[in-house]
Amino acid sequence: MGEPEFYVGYLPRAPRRLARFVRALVIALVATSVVFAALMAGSQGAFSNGAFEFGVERDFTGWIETEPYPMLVVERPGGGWSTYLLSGVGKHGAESEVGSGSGYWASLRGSLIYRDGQTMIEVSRGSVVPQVGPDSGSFGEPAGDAGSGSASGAKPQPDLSRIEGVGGERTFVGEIVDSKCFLGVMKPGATKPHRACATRCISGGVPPVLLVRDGDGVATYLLLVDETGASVGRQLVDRALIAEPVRVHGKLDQLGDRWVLRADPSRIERIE
Amino acid sequence: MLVTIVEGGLVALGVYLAAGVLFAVPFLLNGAGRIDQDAAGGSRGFKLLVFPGVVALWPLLVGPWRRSRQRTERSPHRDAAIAGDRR
Amino acid sequence: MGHSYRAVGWNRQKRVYDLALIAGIVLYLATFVGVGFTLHPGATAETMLIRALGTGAFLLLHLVLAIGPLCRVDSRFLPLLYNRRHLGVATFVLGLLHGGFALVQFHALGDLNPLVSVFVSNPRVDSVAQFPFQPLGVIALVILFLMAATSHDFWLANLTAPVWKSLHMLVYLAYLLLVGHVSLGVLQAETSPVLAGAVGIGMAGLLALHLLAGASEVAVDRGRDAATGAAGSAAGHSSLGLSSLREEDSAFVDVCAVSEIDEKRARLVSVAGDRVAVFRYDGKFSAVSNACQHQNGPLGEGCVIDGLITCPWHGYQYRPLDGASPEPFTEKVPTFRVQIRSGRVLIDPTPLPAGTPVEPALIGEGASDG
Ligand code: HEM
Ligand code: FES
Repeated sequence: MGEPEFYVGYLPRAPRRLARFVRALVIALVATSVVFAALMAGSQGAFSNGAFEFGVERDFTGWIETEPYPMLVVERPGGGWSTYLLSGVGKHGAESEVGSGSGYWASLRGSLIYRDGQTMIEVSRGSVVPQVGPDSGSFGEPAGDAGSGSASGAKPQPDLSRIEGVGGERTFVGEIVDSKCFLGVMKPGATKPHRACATRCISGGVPPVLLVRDGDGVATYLLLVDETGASVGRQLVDRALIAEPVRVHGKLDQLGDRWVLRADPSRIERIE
Repeated sequence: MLVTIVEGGLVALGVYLAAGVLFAVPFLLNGAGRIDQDAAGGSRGFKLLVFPGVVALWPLLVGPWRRSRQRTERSPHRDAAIAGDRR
Repeated sequence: MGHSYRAVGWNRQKRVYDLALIAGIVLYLATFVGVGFTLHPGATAETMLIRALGTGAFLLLHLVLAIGPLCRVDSRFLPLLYNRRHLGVATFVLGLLHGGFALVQFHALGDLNPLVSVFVSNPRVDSVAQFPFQPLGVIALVILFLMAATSHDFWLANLTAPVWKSLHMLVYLAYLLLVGHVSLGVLQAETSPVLAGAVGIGMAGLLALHLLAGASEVAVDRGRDAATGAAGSAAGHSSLGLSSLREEDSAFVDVCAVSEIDEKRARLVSVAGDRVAVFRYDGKFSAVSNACQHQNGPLGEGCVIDGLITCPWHGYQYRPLDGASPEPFTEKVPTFRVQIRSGRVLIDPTPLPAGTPVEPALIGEGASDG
């Protein structure tokens, strides 16, 4: 061994034997942390296939429904209607963009968010333009002059064929998430790490959906409303029912191509 | 309710930190040098590095600045030595 | 200190240290993001960054916490300690970036101020499993900030080392909060056992290191007790408090045999509630209080270089004669009177005010005495 070497940090050079030890140590530390980084990065759970076309704006035209949550209704080429949930920018619903009250024909700009065949549109600020005259309803048309929200006499309101209780009275076990993040804006967009964000989104007016997985993990999204069919976000936030396992009992309605679960929010139970 | 409490806390924190900024500027220009001779000729980089700490911990520096004297270290030996000196 | 403060007193060792640190961090982040996107092409960039920064900060914190006990166990780790404050600052910066991105990602652009949202958006404080994890991260980040903000020597001099040390002991609280932050956060959603395993191994490793370091400290203290007891001194080191000193002012305490202190090195003895370092150099013996005025590093584990007691941590120096740093520096530590009797080293347990000159004891005295 000999005399132990004494290290003084402000001297220009460390003693040789010590310097060799420290060099080996530092290399080992850096190598370990690189391996650790790879391990951490690799062991992350799967990311969803959802997508958010951030920064890509498209034009849309269709019927705007404001209740229970803002939606764009577009006629499908083969007949029938497709519904697109709308959201505002950030953690906001689209209510401030589309207004409230009865529906109307309009054009708007926005970015697509989609996952598992579900599509949402993030409406660009101030881009909703109500249409007065008859319109083809196709995509990418220049907007007509902005008139009142009424489209009466122009084109008939789409028949969404809301069928109340068609799915019967059912009990589901699932997780309440905000439709915007879950569909693709955030990954993860569900479970506890995302709870705070989901809470802000739903509080801000993004439509809440009940995410139900079957045995194979295939997800079904049920739009949540209260027993009267009105929006239910506020109660879900106040009762802290978001992003954890819950049991929901309610009536299953069909609205266009979408399932809507009508349930009393005060009777939604947490599953501890 | 919870939101109100947290908002109140944030306002209090803001006031505390604003007071810290008001304290830190004259302290670093003048006061620090009076309690610590090494800080008197401190470089601009030094002042910048110390600034966030002064803003956060200013109440600990008020006393020394008022007395124009650096805080003295306390340990069993130092305390005993001072006590022994007085005897 | 005794020269005007600069932002950072650079020297070659510090440059090498920081270069290695920055290279390590860049490599870590690049590996995480690179491997992450290769294996998970569908991932979002924000999540990848938040995770790379969070795990990187947490890993660095383990290193920060491990260095102290490692140095106690093996002095060859001391070079890592020398510039540990830069590790701490780097930990804070990574934590700040992680927390900042998380705050924007999960809380901004909503109906509440993000700083309010982070505390209220998960109100499930009534449940253990659902307990909010993000506020724990915020509190830990505040602690890391306070430590980084007070890492300059100005703070050691002006808060004094004991106060500064208590503040920096909060790092253990920050660590526990972060264990909670991870366990109550991503671990609740993660299916892979790798992260949970890593947190567990990290905890076990840190605990083992601290126990090991503690055990070696206890062993040192025991040895000292035995030495003190054997010479039949008035009391064991633990009971030699101030009150007993009053009556036995002149009672010298046995430290060890002359031959037990290596040239230019020290032996420790506990008197008056703290440790004293008794140094031997050029046939002379001097004793000073063990705590360095810089960060209360253990002077007794230091060495006499160029006639000056040199602290093992950051190299602050003191004259053995009076415990004062040479001009232009102004640090001073308490001193103790030393005697040699019958080949044994004894010290007067009454501390003298910091900087008091004391005649060193000479080996010759002991010989004539016995
Ligand atoms: C303002 C303070 C902080 C906030 C808001 C915050 C937020 C978060 C969030 C939201 C996650 C989950 C992210 C995900 O889904 O992957 C997370 C994870 C994590 N955080 Fe923090 N954090 C903060 C401070 C810290 C600090 C100071 C550290 C460490 C020094 C840290 C270390 C981690 C680690 C290791 C993880 C798990 C890995 C990961 O998913 O990133 N956090 N944090
Ligand atoms: S503790 Fe820093 S030099 Fe002694």
